[in-house]
Amino acid sequence: MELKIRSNGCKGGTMIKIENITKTYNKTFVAVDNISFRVEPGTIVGFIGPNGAGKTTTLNMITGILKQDTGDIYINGINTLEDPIESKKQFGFVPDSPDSFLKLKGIEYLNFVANVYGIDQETKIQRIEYYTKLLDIEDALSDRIGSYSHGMRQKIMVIGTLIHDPNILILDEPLTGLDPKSSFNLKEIMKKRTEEGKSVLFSTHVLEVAEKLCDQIVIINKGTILYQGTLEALKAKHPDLSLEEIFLEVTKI
Amino acid sequence: MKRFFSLVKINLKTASDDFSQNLNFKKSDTKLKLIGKKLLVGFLIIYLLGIIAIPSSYLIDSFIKINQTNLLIHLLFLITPVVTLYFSILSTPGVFYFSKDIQNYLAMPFRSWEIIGAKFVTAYIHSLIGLGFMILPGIVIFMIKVHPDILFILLTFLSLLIVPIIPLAVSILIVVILMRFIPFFKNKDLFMYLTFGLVFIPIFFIGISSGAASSDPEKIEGLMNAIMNMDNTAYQYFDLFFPTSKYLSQGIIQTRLLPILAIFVISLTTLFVILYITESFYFEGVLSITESSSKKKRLNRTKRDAYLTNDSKIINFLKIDIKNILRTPAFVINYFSPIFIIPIVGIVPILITDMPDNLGNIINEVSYHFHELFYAVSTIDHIQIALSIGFALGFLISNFESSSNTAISREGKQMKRFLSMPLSLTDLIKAKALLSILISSFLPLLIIIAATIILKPRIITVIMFGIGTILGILVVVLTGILVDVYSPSLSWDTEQQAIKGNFKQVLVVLPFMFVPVLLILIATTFESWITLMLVSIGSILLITLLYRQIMKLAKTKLVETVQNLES
Repeated sequence: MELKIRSNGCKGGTMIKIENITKTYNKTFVAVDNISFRVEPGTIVGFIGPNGAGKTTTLNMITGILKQDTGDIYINGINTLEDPIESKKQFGFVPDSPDSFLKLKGIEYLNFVANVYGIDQETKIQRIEYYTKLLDIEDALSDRIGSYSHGMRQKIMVIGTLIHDPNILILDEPLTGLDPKSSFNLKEIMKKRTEEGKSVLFSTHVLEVAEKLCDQIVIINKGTILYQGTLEALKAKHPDLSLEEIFLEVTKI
Repeated sequence: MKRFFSLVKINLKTASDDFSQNLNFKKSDTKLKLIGKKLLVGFLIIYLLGIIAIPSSYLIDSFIKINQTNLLIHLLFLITPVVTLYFSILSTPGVFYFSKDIQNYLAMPFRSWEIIGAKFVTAYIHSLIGLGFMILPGIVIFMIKVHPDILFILLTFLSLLIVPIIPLAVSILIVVILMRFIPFFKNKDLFMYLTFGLVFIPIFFIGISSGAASSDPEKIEGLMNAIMNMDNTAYQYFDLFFPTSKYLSQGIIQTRLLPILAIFVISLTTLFVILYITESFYFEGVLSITESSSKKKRLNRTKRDAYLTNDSKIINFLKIDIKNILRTPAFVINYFSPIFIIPIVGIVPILITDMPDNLGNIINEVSYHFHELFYAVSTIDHIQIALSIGFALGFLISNFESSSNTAISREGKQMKRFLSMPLSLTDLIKAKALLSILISSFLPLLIIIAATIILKPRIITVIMFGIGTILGILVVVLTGILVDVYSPSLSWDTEQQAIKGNFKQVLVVLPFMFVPVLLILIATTFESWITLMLVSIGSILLITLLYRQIMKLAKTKLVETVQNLES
C-alpha cells in the first residue's frame, strides 16, 4: 500500500537553526556549551557523540522538554521560546526512553497523538494502517504499551511521530532495540522523507548507521561541537584511520 | 549472615530513598529552603501524631473512669494483628513479587533463604514503623495516665514486636499460594484489584461479625457485670481474631513473661515453617510475573475504527486520564474506594440489623426533620439552608478522594512527553479538574436522587442543594490541583508512591478540617443562615481566584518544574 503524504507547511528555509545555545545543570555542570548548527531541508543529520556528550540535552532543548539558558532555536523559522506550540507542530520526536503512556493500548496512544495534532479521521486511519503494517505491529495494537518489549515501544512511538507527517523528525537513538526488518524500514522511511524535502535529525552511537544514512554529521563531546559536515570530508582528513579510529580521534579532548 | 544483612540494608535503603524523594528534599535546595521543608515535615508529623493522640487521650480517660484499662491493652491486641494482616496482604506482592530488584538478586550469588528472609525482615520493619506511627502516641499517653509498672511497659513493647510476625507470615503464605497456583493472579493490576476485594470485604465482615458475637447474652451479662464492678476484667469477654494475641494480651495484663516467650517461640516457628514451605513456590512464581498481559490479537477494521475518535483537546486528555486511572489499581483504590466504602459502611450495618424497622425509622426521622426544617422557614431561608448544606456536603465528600491533589503527580515523568507536543498544559489541567469534579459528584448525585425520591423536596431545594454541592466540590478540587500544580511529585517508580508519599495531600486536608468547625462557629455566633450563604457566595470568588492562579502556574512554574525533572 502506498501512502499519500500531504505537505505540512514546509517553508523551504532552514529546518532547524540552533544559535549559541547553552545549558547548565545545577549552576555548575555545563552540559551544552554555546553550540550552533543547522539542519537543512531534505537532509538527514546524524548527531554523534559518546555517552554524556550532550546529545540528549540538545535534542531535549530543540523539542522544548528543556529550556536553554542562552541562545535561540528556530524550527522551520519559528522561535521555540516565542511560539512554542507552533514550533512543536513542525516536528515529531521519539525520545531515548519509550517508556511513556504504558497504560494505554497502542491504538489508543495513536488516536491520542493524532487528536493532539488535529489529524482528520480519514488520514488518521490511512496512516495508522500504513505504518503499523510497515513496522509489523498490527497484532499488538489492542494490547497495552506496558506489555510491549523495548523494540515494540520504540515502534509505536515512531508511528506516533509519523502520524502527523511532520516536516522534521527528531529521533534520540531510534534504532536501539529494533529488529533488523523494522530497523531497515525505519531507515527507508527516513530516506523517503528527505526525498520529499523533509528533514531528519537523529542521535546515534552506531557509526556505521551514520555512514550509510547521513548527509551530514554533527559530532559533540563534553557539550562542545567538534565537527560538522559530511562524513566523506571527515574521512578525507584522516585517510589512514578507520571510522572508529576517526571518531576516537575527533572526540579526544 | 553478612550477605543477608546487606540485602536487608539495601531493601531498607531503597524504601527510605523513595520516602525522601517524596518529601521533595533536593540536593539543589538552598540551606534555608531545606530547613523550611524539614520544619514543614516536622510540623506535619506532629500534626498527624496529634490527630491520633487527642482521641486516644479521651478514650483512655473514659476507660480509666470505668477502671477497665486492661480492656484497652486487650483491644490493642485485637486491632494490631488484623491491621497488620490487612496492610501486609496489600503490601506483600509489592515487596516479594513486583519489586524490580528480584531479577538482580537472582543473578547474584545469594542463597534463596537469604533473599526471602531479607524480604520478610524488610516487610516486618515496615510493619513496625507503620504500627508504631499509629499506636505509639496512644501507648505513651496510656503509660503517662495509667502509670503501669516497668515490667508491664517492657512486656507491652516486647509483645508489640512479636505480634506482627504471624499476620505477616500468613499474608506471605496466602500471596505465595495465590501467585503460584492461580495463573491469572500473576498480572500485577488484576492481583491488586482482587486482593483489595479479598482483603477489604473479609475485614469489613469480621468487623460486622465481631459486633454480632458480642450480642451473645452470657457475654453481654459478664461484660456488664465487669463494668458495674469496675474490676478491670471486662477484657475477658472479648474474643481475639488471632489466638496468639490473646496470650500476649494476658501476659501483659498479668505481667507474666512465660506466655509471651511461648508466643514468641510459636511465632518464630510458624514463620520458619511458612518460609520453608513457601520458598520453592515463591521462586517458581516470581519468575513468571508480568506487569500486564498481552493478547496479540489483531483488531478487525470495525473494532479498530471504534478506537479512532475525533475528540476536542480536553476530551482527548480526559479520556487518557480516565484510562490511566482505571488501569492503575493504586489510583482506583485511592480515588474510588471512599465512594464505594462510605455507602457500604453506612448502609450495610443498617440493612443487616433489623433492616425494615431500622431503615423505616431512619427515613421517618430524616423526613420529619427535613419537613420541620424546610417548611417552617421562609423561602429565602429555605434557599439558604439548601445551598449551605449542599456546600458542606460537596466540601466534605470531595475531601475524601485524592484525584485532584495528585492530578499532575499521577502522570510522573511522562509529563516530559507532553512538553514535546504542541499542546498547552492548561488544557491538560482543565481536563483533570473536570475529571475530579465528576468523581467527587458521584456520591452527592446519588444522595440527591435518593433524597428527591424519599423526601420529595421542592424543585428549588434540589437546585440550590446541587449548586451548593458543586461550589463545595470546586473549592476542594481546585485547591488540591493548585497545590499539585505548584509542587507535583513526579519522580516515582511505582504509582503507590505518587499517592501515599505525597505529603502535600495533608496540606490540602489540613486547613479544610477546620472549615466545618468554622461554619458551625459562624452559625452559632450570628444565628442566621445568611452568614452561611455569604460563605457559599464567597466561595465563588475563591474559586475564580484559584482557577486563575492554577492557569498562571500551569504556563510558568509547572513547565519549569517538568523541564527541571531529572530523567
